[in-house]
Amino acid sequence: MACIEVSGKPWTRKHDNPAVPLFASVPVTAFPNSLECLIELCASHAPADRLKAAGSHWALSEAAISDRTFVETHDPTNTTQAMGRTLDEVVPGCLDAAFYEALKRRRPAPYDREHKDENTGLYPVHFETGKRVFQLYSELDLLGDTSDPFKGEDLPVATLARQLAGDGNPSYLGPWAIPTLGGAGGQTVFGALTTGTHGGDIHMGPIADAVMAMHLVTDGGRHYWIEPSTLTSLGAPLTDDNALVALYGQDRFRGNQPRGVDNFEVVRDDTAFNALLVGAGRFGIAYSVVIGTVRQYTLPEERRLTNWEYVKSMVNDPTSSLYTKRFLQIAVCPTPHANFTKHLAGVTKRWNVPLAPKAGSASVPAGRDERRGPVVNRFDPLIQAPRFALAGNSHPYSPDPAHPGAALPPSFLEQACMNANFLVGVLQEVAKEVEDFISSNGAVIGGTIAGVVAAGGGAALLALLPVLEILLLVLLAFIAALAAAAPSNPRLGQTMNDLKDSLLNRPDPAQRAAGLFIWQLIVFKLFSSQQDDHDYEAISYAVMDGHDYLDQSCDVNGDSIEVFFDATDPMLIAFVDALLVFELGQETVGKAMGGYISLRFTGPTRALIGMQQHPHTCAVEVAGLKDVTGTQELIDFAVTLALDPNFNAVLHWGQRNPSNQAQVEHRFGDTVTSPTGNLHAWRSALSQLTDNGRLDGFSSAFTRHAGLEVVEPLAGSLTMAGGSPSSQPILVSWDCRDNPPATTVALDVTAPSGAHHGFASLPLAGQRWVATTGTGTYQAQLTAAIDFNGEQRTATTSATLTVS
Amino acid sequence: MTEVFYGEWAVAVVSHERAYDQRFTITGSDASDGVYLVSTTGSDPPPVNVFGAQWTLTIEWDSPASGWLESDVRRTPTYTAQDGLVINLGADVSFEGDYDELVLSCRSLDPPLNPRRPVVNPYDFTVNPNTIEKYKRQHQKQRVKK
Repeated sequence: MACIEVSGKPWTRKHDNPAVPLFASVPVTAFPNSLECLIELCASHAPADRLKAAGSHWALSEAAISDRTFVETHDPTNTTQAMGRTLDEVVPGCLDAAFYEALKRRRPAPYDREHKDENTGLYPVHFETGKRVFQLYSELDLLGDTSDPFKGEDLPVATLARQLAGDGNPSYLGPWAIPTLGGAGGQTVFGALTTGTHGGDIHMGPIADAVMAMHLVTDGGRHYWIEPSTLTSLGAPLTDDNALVALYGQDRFRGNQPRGVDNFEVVRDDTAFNALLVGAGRFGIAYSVVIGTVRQYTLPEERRLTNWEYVKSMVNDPTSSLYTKRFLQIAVCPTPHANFTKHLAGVTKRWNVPLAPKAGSASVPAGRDERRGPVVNRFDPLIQAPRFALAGNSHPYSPDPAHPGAALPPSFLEQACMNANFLVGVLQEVAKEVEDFISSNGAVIGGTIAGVVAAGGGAALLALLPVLEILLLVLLAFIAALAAAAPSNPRLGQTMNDLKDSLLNRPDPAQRAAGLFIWQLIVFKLFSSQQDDHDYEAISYAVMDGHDYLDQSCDVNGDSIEVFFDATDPMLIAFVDALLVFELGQETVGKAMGGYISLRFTGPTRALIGMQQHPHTCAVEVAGLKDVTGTQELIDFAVTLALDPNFNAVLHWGQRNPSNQAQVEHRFGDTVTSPTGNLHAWRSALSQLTDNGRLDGFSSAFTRHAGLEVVEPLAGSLTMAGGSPSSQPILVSWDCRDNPPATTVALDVTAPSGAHHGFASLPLAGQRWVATTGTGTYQAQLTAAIDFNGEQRTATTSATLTVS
Repeated sequence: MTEVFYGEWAVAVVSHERAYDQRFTITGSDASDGVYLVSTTGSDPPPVNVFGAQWTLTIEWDSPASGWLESDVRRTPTYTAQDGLVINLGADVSFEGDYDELVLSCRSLDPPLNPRRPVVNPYDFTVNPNTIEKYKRQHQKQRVKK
C-alpha cells in the first residue's frame, strides 16, 4: 500500500510568517495513512532520499525539517487523511494477561462531585501518531458522557473499558484524561511528547512520561514495538510478545524481508525506550504510541497579579509558598513599571478538586460544552475519528466570575485577536489618563499612571508635560487610524510595531522620554488585563489548553524559545533579570519586546535528552511577535545566554534551538574525553536501531548540527588468511559496513621484521593482499574513524597470522 | 569547592575576615593562573582580569592546625543594569553558613553576555507623593462604593 506522495508543495510551520512559506517548494511530501504504507515508504526510499516526519507543524525548531522527503502524519492544511486512528488491536488485543488481570482488580474512582484525587487509575490508550492533542482529550472525555447521544461507547478508545465491564468491572466506563498538558492542544500528541513538551505540574514530568509503548518504523522499513524493560506500575509488562508478533509479524508488514516476522521485533529496553521518547525524529517514524491516561479531573485556577521583584526570591526555594499546589506558572512582563523598578508578574496555580458542574447541571462539568462540544460527525475520514464541534475550534474557556460554572462569551482580547482593532479600547483608556494628567498639570493620575510611576520628586515628568501633549496627539491619531482600518488590517504584531515606532523611535530626547512613558502605560494596561486576578474551575482540558484556535492575528509570525534550568539554580534568576535589563536598554533606543516571559515548573523526565533533568525544573519561555522590532533581538539574547556554558541551560527541542554538538554534549554528556552520560546512552540506542548509523535515512541538518547522530565507530570484523607457504601473500579482509556512510577506514599491517604496510581511505568493507617478507607473526590493525563537527572518534581492532 | 568559569571575567576582592589568611587560586586561564593571597595584614590583591575558554577558581583558608584548607563556596549570581552579569563567591569556613569570610566579585567581561552594559536609563518617571496618595484615597473610595 503506497503512501500518497506529491512534489513541489510548500512547507511551513504554524508560527512562520503566513505570507512567506518557510520553503516555497519541497522535493517530496508524503502522506502515510497506515502502517503498511509507512513501512513501504521507509523500505523503498533511495539512499540519498532522506526522510523526516512532522506532526501538525506547531514546532518552531528545525527538528521536523527533512533533507528531502517531508512525511506528514497530520496534514496541516487538513486536506489529506491524517494518521489519526485510535487503535484497539493491541489495547486490549495484545495486553499481557497479568497486566489485564491487574487492571480488572482495580476500581478507579468515578469522576463526580465527591472524588478529587490526582492521577486516579490507569487506562492505556493506543493511537496513531497523527492524532492531535485536542482530539485525544476529547475522545477520552466522551467515554461515558451520558449527555452526548453518541457516548463514545463504540469508539476504539472504549474497547478496553467495554471488555473490562464484560468481565465484571464497569468502573472504567467513564471519562479519562491526559495526566498533564502543555498550554495548547493543536500539536499531534506524539509531536508534542517527542520534543519534550510539558505543562506546569510541578511534580509531574512532561507528556512523554505518560508513554507506555511506541511502535517505530526505521530506515529500511523494519519496525519495532518498544517498551521499557521495567515493568509497569501494575507489576507486569503492558503487552504480550507472542500476541504482538502474531499481529505485526503478518506478511503484509514484511517490507524488504521475505516474511513479516523477519521484519518486526519487540524491544523491551529502558535505554532504547527512554531515548526514543525524545528522539528528534532521528530514530525513524513512530507509527503509534500507547499512553497511560488517568480518570478525568477538574482543576481550579487561581491567578494573582504581583511583580517579579516580589516573587523572584521564592523561585529557587521549592519549599516556598509558591510551590504549594499542583501547577505553577509565573508570567513576567518585560517592560518595567514603578519608575523602572518593577515588572508585573501573574502567578497562576492549579490543583485538583471534585467535578465542578456547569451552571444549571449536576453532572456536566464546566468547560466541556465550550471546549469540546458535541460530536458532529461520528467518523470523519480526514482524521479517522469522530469530529467534535469545538475541539480545536474554539476560543479558550472564559469563566464568568458572577456565575460559577458558566462561561462568558469570548473575551475582548480573544475577539480582538481576530483583527488588530482590540488595541483601540486599551489605547483610548491610556489616552484618557494621559489627557487628564496633562490637563491637571500632573496633579491627577489614573490607575495605569499610578502603576507606571513611583513617588519621588516628579519634576522630570512635569517638565515633560508639553511633550506629552505632542505624543498624545500622535497616539490619538494612531487610534483614529486603527479604528478606521478595515477588518483585513495588518497582523497584531505589525500594528504593535507601528505603535512602538510612533512612540519610541523619536529623534528628540524629550519626545523619546514621553513616548516611552506612554509605551509603558500601554504595556502595563495590556499585561494587567491579561494577567489580572481570577479564580475559576473547569474540566482538565478547558483549564490546561488555553490556546485560541480562532485567532487569526495574535499568534502568527511568532518566535519563541524555552530555556530549562534547575529550579534551585540561582542562574535562573540571573537569566530572567538579564532579559529584563536587556529590554530596559532596548526600549530607550526605539525597540521593544512584543511578547512575554513565562516560567513554568515540572518534575523530572525519564527521557534521556528531555529538558527536564532536575527534580524541580523551571522552563522559561520567551515568546513574541517577530513583527515587532525588538522581539527577535531579545530572543536572540536569550539564546546567547542559554547556550553560554556559564548559564548552562537547556533549550526546548520543539522551539528555536540552535544548539550545536559541543553544546549538547556539554549538557547531556558523551564528549570525546568522557564518553558517558545520557547522550551516550541515547546514541547507543540509536546505534542499536540503525546498525550503528549505517541506516541514516532519518539524519537531517538539525540532527547533524546538534550531534544527535552516531559518532562512535565500530571497527567491525577483521580476518587474515593465506601466507602458506610463506611465499604466498596474506589476504586481509574487513567489514565495517555497520557505520555511518562517511566513516573512514585505515589498515596497517606489520610484518615480523617491523615493516609496515599502510592503507588509508579504504571502503567500509573489502580485502587487500599483503606480500609476506618472511616467516613469523603478522599483525593487522584496522581503524575506523568518524570525523564529525570537528570531533574525531576512532575504534580499532586487530588480527594476527603466523606464517611458518 | 572548585568553581568553573568560561570566558572573560574580572575578579576582585570585595571583603574578607581578618582572623586568618586566605587565598584564591586560578588555574586553566590563558594568562592569569596563580595564587592570590588575601592576608590578614597586607593589602588585598588588585583586581585581575581572567581570560580562558574554561578556568577554575578555588578558595582556601589557612587553618592554624591544618594549614591550607579548601573553603566551602556559595555562588550568588546577579544581573543588573549597572554591572551586567556578576557572580559573587562567598567563602565559608568551619561550616558557619554565613559565606562572608571572603567575598569575591566575578564580573563577566564577555560582550555577548553584556551587550549594553552599563544600561543607562536617563529617565525619571516619578510624581509627587501627594498625587499618588490622592489617587490611592480615591481608588479606595471607589472600591468601597463597589
